[in-house]
Amino acid sequence: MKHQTPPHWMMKFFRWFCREELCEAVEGDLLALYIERRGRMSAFRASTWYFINVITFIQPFAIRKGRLSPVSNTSSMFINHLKIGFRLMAKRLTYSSINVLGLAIGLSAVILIALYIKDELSYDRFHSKGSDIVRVTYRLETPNATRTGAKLPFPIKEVLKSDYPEVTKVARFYHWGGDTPLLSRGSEKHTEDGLYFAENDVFDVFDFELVSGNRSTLLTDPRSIVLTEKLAAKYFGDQDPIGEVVRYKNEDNLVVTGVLKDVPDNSHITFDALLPIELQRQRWMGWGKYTYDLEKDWNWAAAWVYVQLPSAVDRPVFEEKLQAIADEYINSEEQDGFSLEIQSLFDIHLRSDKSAEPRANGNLTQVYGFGIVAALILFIACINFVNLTSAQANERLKEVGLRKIMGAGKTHLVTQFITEALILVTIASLIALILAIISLPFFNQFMEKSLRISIDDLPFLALLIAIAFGVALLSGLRPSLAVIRINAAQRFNLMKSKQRFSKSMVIAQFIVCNLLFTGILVVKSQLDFLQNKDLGFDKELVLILRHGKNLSFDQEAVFVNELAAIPAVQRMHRGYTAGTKGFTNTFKIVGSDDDDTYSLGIKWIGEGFTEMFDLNIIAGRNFNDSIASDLESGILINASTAETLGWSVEESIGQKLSFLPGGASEPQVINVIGVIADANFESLYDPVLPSVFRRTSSSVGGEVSIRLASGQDLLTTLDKIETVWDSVIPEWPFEFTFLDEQIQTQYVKEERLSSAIRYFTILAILIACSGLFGLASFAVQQRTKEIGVRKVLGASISSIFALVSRHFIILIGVSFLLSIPMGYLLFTRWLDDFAYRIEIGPGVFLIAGITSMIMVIIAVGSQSLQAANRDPVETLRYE
Amino acid sequence: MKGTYLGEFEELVLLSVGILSDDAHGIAVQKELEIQTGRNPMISSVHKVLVRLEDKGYLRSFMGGATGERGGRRKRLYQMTASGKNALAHSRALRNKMWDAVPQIVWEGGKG
Repeated sequence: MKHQTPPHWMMKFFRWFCREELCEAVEGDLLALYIERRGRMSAFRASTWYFINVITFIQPFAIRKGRLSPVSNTSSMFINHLKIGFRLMAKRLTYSSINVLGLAIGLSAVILIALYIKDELSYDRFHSKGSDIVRVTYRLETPNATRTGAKLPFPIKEVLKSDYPEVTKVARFYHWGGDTPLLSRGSEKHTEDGLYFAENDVFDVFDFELVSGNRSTLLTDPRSIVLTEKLAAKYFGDQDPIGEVVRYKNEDNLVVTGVLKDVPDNSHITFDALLPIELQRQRWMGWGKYTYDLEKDWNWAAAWVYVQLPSAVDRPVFEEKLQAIADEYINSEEQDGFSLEIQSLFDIHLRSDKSAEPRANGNLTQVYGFGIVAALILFIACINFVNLTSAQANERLKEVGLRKIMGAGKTHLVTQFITEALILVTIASLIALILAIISLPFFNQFMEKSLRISIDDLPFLALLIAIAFGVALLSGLRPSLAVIRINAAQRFNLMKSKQRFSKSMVIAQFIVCNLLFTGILVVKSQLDFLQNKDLGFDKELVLILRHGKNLSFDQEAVFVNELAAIPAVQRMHRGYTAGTKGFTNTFKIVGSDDDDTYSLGIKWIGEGFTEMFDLNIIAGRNFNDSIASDLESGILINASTAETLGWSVEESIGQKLSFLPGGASEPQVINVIGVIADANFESLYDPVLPSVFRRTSSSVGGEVSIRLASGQDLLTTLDKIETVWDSVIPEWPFEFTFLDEQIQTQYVKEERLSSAIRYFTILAILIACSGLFGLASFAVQQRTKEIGVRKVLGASISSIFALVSRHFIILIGVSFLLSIPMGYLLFTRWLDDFAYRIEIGPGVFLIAGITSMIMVIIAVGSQSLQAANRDPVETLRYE
Repeated sequence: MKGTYLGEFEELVLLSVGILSDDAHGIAVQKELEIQTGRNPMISSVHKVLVRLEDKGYLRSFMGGATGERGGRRKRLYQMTASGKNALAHSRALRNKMWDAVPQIVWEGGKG
């Protein structure tokens, strides 16, 4: 029963101001109301009502003496300040609204970003034992490369439990992305990518919430399955699934033993259903027929292994001790670079970048990026506010003088200015909150998050508003201190020093703007560059069949025949598909003097691979089916491999490599028969992986890809292929992706984040420009008479335009020049992380500089033109 | 005369306290007002009037027992004083007198 009382600070606040004799009774009433409301509505709404009720008690009858009710003179002065403040706002509606809106938009952007950051930092925090959980991972060092991975062999669990008394529990998850996990019940038949394998210990170590079922025996039976509410609803509707049966891969009937709440979004591992690891083990043992036992296989790193360690255990010492496992079971004389590492559960989402993570992790750099943008937006919005507020203060010298004559002291004047600033900030904060609430759904959709503002965010919102109020204090204090010290003689000097202050603020603002602007240009062109870069193979119009692996040899023959009858199908290939991650292995050069080993990718290709993806053979020849040794020991290598191994393309033909295939005891020797041009099959974030290409023996299945002719009607073609598929292999659904789309998905996340940052940056620039617009119109206002006099004396419109715009343009010019070296340093460092990168030319800086210049000229120019065009009769009339 | 003036809302609150007799505290009075009049006053306005009526001497109060649904807080129970009863009686008498003074024709005459 969380939230059975309203937030503590609300109650405290009430007790603080309420009169003692009323306090207890009234609080009782309020609590009774709260509890009654809590039965009908969410904690947030009930608390809001509670707060509204508390506020309504801020009346003289209920307030304790000396609390909230200042001495009467001050309070009437306060009311007077409010009145003057509002009048002033109404009088200068343009500035006030620019001022307030700028701050409000800035604050709301900061609220959204802060929610996002908060969510990113909240990953896995819902596990109550989270701080005690570590994940065991590995690091593999070979002379040429270092690899780290999140998955480990299954049997490590037994060793951890038997040899390490400090370990409380070990829990494993397992999931293989290349699988085709079909789940069916009656007519419901779907490939479920969210099927994960696990074991009972998972429920002891982690806090995944159980809706029904017995927590201690969920996965005990090998033929059991635990569904999440989402899948339960999909397959069973409203029916109670416990005890019911679903069919797995058309082969095994599994009994539903439990239903879990859907895994929260902020979990580094998410699944839709859990199956026992024992099921997988038994399936591969043919339920007792074969000897392969995954619980004994030390060569296959497939499981994510989590260990619950009491906090008293010294982590580095434990990590050191784990090395014994690596040395005993994994490292050999050939290769001894394997070591085990541990990482805290809370570090996984943002700080882990290993191969085979359960799901794409967050990126700490991106979180920092967002944080920096938020801080900069806040900075720009605040500078705006301070600048505009102080600019206005200049106008008030007469008023201040009069107040002084009437006996106002320093404190009075300062209070007055601060009160006025506070009014603006209060309005801005309210607008900011409303804006944030309105735009949150769009932001969520865009970022694919499900963020929301909840009662728990109140302290954080309060902090934000406190910052805003701090700004208000500052912006009120500065001009007021300047203005009250004034006497007629000093007046002009002071204004000069104040302008210097404003100037440096404007320069700072526009340096930030230029940097942000250059930043988005650089990021955008880098991403465009990556996406448009020639991958080295033809990725258009290639269809990849999801269940292609399940075709048997006989079925394949029929399938190929029938496909050939479809005119739009050009060719079919079975084997490694571009765009997916292949395996790697360690190779040695046969006949080489040294003992160097090389980590190379290994890709099993079928007949027609080079034609399928339009790859050129640059030396040697392709596989020839009539030469038996080609299929046994022939390999193609790519140009990068030749380079890695220190061969020229020509001399690599005929070279021999040796390696230890998975599960084999003897190394195998293979011959290079040809070299193909480099193509980047994996990811453009990395350079081309040096790889060897082997022919699959025809009995081994593989992914099926189909190349379609261009210019054909896609839908009919797909229809025809589906008909063929259904006639050949009806028990597996026809599911496919297009290769180019599959490759594109690599960049979706980057793309989305970069465009989010882009929008916020544009927002920041707009805020800065609106501030400049305010300053300019203010400057024009102050010089109305001067301009009038100049015009009377014959100044031209263009000279007046120049007069007003000149010093703004100088300011922007200075900030432009200052931002170039900063930007260059910053972005070169960012680009250094990429394997393929653009060079930063003067172009981006020029575009950024010119654009900001244009925006400034528009903002300032419109004001100057207006001033220049005004009739001097009008401007000089009142003097 | 001047000291005994009762505003309409004050009168309603005073009557509610009378109706509730031995369990007249803030939230009960608010509920009673809602039942009787259909209006839903803020809890703060109810307390404000209760305090004012006590200041005028029409009510007296003491602390009552605590219950769970109030988060363990005690109630402040109100009771009408003699002068409270007087004020109500006075107000009613005043109304009756004025009712009687309205000529019959006004009630019957319709649009007249």
